[in-house]
Amino acid sequence: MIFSTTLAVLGAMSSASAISAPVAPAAPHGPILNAIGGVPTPLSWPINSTITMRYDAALGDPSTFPASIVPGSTPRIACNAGAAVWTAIAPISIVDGGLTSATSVGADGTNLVTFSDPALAAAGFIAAAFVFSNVTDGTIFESDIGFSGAFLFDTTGTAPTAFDIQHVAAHEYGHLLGLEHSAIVGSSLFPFTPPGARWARTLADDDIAGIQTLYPTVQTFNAVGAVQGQLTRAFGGVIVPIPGAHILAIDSVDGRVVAATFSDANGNYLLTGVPAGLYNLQAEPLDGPVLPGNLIGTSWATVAFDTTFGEARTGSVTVRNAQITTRNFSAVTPANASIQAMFANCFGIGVSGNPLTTAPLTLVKPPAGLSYNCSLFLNGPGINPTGAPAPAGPMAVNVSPGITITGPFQGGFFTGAGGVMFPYARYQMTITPQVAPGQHNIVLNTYTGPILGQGGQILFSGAIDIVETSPPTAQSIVYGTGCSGLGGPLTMSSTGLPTLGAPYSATVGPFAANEHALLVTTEFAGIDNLSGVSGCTSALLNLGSLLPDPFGVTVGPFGGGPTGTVTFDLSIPNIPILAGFTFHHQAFAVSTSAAVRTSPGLRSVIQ
Amino acid sequence: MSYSPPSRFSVARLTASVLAAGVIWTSTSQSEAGVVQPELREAITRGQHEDLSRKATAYVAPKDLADLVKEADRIVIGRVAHSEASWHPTRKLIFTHASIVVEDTLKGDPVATATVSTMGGIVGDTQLTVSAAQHLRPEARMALFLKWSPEFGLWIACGASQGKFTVLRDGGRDLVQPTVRYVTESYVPFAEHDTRGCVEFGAFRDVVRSLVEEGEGR
Repeated sequence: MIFSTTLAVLGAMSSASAISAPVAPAAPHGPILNAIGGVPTPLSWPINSTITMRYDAALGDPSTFPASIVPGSTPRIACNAGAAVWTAIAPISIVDGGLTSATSVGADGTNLVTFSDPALAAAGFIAAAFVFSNVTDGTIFESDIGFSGAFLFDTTGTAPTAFDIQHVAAHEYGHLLGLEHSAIVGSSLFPFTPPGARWARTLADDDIAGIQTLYPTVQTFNAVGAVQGQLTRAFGGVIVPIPGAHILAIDSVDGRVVAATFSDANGNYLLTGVPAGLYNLQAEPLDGPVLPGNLIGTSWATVAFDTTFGEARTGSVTVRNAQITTRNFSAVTPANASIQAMFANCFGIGVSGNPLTTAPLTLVKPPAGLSYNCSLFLNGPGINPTGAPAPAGPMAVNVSPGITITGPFQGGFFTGAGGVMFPYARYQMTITPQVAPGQHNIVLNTYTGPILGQGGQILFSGAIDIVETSPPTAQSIVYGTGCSGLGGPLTMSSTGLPTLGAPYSATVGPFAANEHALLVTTEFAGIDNLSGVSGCTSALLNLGSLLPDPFGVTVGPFGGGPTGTVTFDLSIPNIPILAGFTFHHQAFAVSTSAAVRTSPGLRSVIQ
Repeated sequence: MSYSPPSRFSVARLTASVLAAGVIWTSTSQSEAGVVQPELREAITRGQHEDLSRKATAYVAPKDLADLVKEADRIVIGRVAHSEASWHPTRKLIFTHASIVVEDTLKGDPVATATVSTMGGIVGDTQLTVSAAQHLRPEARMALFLKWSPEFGLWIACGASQGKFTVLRDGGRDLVQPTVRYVTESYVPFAEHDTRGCVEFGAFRDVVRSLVEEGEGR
């Protein structure tokens, strides 16, 4: 049974060896699979298509930009850049066809990017791709991208609650080309994002495997192979297939997640776009952060996702270019834990991921001679459920050279919305220069008995995103509005740029004689009110309330000294690993009577 | 004047507790490079974590259960009887309209049947696929948070896919699974979720009813 034209192409182009397929080939990795006549059929444009995108006319002039776009942004450039990450590596073109008077998404013969469709604001999403296809073969003939008017979007990085347009566009252009959501954290097609995130701007290995499977060339086909098989489990003494499992190909040498897919209704899987090499296959339930309901293709609506099994891992599987390797494997234990959230701190200077978010922990590959030392805080069902101060497990497993995770060492609770307590377990992580760029898993052994490894493994797939150092551009931008309190506005300005080893400072003032000057440094920007503080209930910016992220506080003198202002020395040490990181600063004036004023924020991108 | 901290990027850390009448600041020294003492983090976190967790979102706008209850004009539990797609009369979009046989109405006037429309579907040779849409499987039992959309003139699910909860039968129990775990994890105690993010149907229904009553001022 051939499920897709892509697989047919793969088979036709394979000449190195006969393909042995003891199980029916499953749906290929990557594309949106709609059920057509009961057969999962991928959506795609014809290979070598040129897709002309038109932009709603409001984007033609900054003075007519919709209110959802932060002033100073360049949305068309960002959207085009979001498209280019895909077209750079696949035989398909997306071109900017200029402006159009159309503002509403729909089948009108125009491929539209709009920020001006008023109906989308009520639909509840931040952005979406609208893909029109021929139902007989899945060929896409028109597609629009709509950004909701209910949210802020920008390209400047200065609006704390705004979504980065290039990041969102890269995600939606992936859908526009026919790609499904990915369950790899750090993939451009991972279905969750916090404001300000930018990881989708760079394709993950899984994204590359997906687009090159959907739009292959002779060159890309010959540079990859595929793995297929069936995932099963023992159930009441009978071996049964596991439908809807998340299956990953993990590089046996460096631990990177190279590609991932989902098993079909019969437990069959097909991992395509996998470069030749040795891989361990790992299967996990689709039990979060990505859930079955997050998949787009209608073929998944009739799959009974098995989310009750424990993870399974194979020994090394050899993948050869232009060939399909077959490997069946089984899960043997029930799931008894699941990682749902994490955050971490590294360096002791506040580089972290968010608690209770699903953003990857993105770290620049350490240069020779340096390493990162972090604490990882994990939570989820089965992970220290009682919030014990000294949890016994589950134990961390090292899966990638250059990443060492040990523990747990400690536990406790976070407080969430509505006062719900979230238990966590703390682990220790060290990342050395040996680590390979790409997405890496966090893996725990869910054993409950005395024998280590007696039980399954759970993983947070792609949770650690190692990126190569890229030349950043130093930025120093004052943004937002502070709280004037009872003493008037507190201004902020900067001198110099945050360049390694160069002078850089922020000047804040004026301060009253009874006011203490404080400067908070954190990874996050913020817009929260300083509620409950006299005179500051309308504050628009309060980085201090965005704790618990690790942060630094610089304490200045009372009254700002002779000039009434304080200059905080923010010069960046000449440590290469700091290049590329962004920090936010905000000054506080705290009086002896506990009155508070705050300054605008200062965003520093280190070069 | 210029003021340099004693040690750049290794400065004192601060525990901040925002009190009703002001701010109390407490400095602690950093004792372990690269590691924030968890108990300190916990103290900092308490009472301030809510804002952070709500910043976590999807390509759909984040809603918690209270948001959904407030937004919904009608909340029903029922089973999908049948569905049919059609072109929207004024928009060049395809919607699929699912007819729900209602077993319980948690908000709004009790109804025997309800209709929910979702973007996407098949009409003739054309299929529309929308990346943020949800699928309503025939025969599936669901809890649906619905609102009237004047923009489309249709009943739609609140918060895109978040207004749809699947009711599963598992080991003799009825469980409710959200499409985004945050929706229920915010209001149903964490320990009551299984590894799939499912919560007991009865507990879910009780929380929703209680939120509806709170909203109605009862």
